Amino acid sequence: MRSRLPLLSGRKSLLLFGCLFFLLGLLPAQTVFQFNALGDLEFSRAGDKSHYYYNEIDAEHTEARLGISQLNLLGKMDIGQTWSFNARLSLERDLGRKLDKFSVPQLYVQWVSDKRKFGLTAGRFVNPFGSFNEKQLSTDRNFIGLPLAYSYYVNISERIGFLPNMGDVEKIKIGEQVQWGSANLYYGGYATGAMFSWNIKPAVVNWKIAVVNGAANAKTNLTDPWQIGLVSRLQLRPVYFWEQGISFSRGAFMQSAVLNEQLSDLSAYTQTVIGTDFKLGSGFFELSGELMRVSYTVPEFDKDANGFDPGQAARQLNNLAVYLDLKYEPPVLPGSYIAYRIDHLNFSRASGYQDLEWDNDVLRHSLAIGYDITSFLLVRAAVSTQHVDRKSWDNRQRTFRLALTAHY
Amino acid sequence: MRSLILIGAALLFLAFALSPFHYDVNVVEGTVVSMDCPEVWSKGKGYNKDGTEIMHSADPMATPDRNVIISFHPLDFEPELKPTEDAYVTQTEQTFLPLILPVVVGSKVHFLNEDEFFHNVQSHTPGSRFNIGRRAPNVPYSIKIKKQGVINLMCDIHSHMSAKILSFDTPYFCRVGKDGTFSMKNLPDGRYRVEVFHPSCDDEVSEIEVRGGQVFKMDFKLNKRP
Ligand SMILES: [Cu+2]
Repeated sequence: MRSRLPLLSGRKSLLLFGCLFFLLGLLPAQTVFQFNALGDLEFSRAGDKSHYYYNEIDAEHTEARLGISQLNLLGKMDIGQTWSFNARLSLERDLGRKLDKFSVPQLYVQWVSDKRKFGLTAGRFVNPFGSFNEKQLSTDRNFIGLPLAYSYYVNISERIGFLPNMGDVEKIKIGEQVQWGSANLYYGGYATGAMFSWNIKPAVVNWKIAVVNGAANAKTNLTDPWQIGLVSRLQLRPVYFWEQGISFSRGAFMQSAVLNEQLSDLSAYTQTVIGTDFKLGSGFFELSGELMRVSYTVPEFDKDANGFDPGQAARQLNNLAVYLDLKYEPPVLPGSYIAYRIDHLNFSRASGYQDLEWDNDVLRHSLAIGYDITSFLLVRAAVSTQHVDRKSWDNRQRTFRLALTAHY
Repeated sequence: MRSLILIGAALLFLAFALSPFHYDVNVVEGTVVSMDCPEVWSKGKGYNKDGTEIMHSADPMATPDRNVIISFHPLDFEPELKPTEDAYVTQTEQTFLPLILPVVVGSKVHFLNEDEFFHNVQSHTPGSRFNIGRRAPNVPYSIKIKKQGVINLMCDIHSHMSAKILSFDTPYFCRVGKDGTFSMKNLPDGRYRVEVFHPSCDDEVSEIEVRGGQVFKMDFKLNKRP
């Protein structure tokens, strides 16, 4: 889960970090370092129709499985009150399989003005879209899986555009790789680019705008040609117990590939997301949620021609994603919590495609409990069950996960 | 009845006024120098959050040298342990103030949110686990500290926030001033184990014997935590 494409190769990253450590010796005295590490040991079991692209459990690993699911090293360096560097190195399971994917999901330099009125960030940073991205580390007392908008793969791929039933039924290959779509906010946790942040009224109104390398669903790597994307977020706190965010993201996401050489201008195909999120709190309760509408302008792949029909105009496809979280922390057992999530994805009808929805609706229920055993050990257990295309609950897509997170 | 109260009050006053003559009270003063200890504002798990929204209190209490605590633990007698009065920890501009709060074990600590949004206080320290939930601005909430030792505080909403309560089995402790000097008054005669606590330096432990109502000197040089 939460796998990110590597920004740099392992050797280049090592070289970069070597240089960084050399530079550390030249720093002014008021520099504060902070190093953290976290790792997850996970036990999972899932229904036999599970798939990483449906419910984050790899199809080959639906039986009882115990193993390390991720390891992270995090470093932060504050130079005075103005400059800071932030990095995260990660070793994860690639598509939920083997723990062999090294990446640098976060690497940025940040400047903040006096009293943090303004901020400038450059590099790879947490995508400011929505409220979820900032709480994706497993140390956050949360669910083990991601919301559908971040984890369920829709029938739109960054290489072959739109194709109904892509991946599970229609297996179009590039090389050996079967093309699946991507999630609405695929790799949405981080973005590469530059961000401006303005605390218009500290703690009450905050605005962020960022120019990044693609739309929120784009699986971009630093070595890929840049696609331009724009993300913005306005965060409001009308009263102390209510936070409301309004987010916008628009950008290109298509990558050039063998099968799409006939498409003349890939930047014409875009994804636009508007979303709003809220958080309400009271004592030991918290209610939060997010609603987003995702619109794609996307070419339709012609599987018979194994390419694109030049006469076919780009399609306009939409979907709606919503989830609601309720969390309770029992005061009788400090450090414990219980959380419930209802999660839904709804797709528009695609004209010409037998007037059917362009992907299957999904409804998911998740329940999680967790407990901080000590200040450096968190244990969580979570179950989820979902139904697809308004059919009955499909037990073959349920999941059970138990995770032990060690963090320093 | 009125005269009885008056006599009682006079007797109480006399007892109070005369009591210093029954034993000597001593003063220990000196300086604390912290060598090469990194500056710690607040250390927590704020690593994956966007730093632009994190606020920072400009309160001088947030500098490390105002968070050095010296405690004197009697070796010859059992001190009377009265709960510390007005033990407040506030949450201001996403910072716990003070970062280090010394109290006598058994004291009530009052948590007060001075920001315009929710804060939380919780501790996962064994023997003193608590979670006070989301707390509204300007409504204090109290927790009795029953465990002796260091109690780590954090805020579940702002992961970069952290602080410590030092819960002592002695009423004799003081905070080092901004200039690095301290003065511990009213120490009865006897031997003491002296402990110096700094948020980012190694703890210092030594011993002193005070007698005869005098002023004693004690200086400390703290080393970086290995
Ligand atoms: Cu807080």
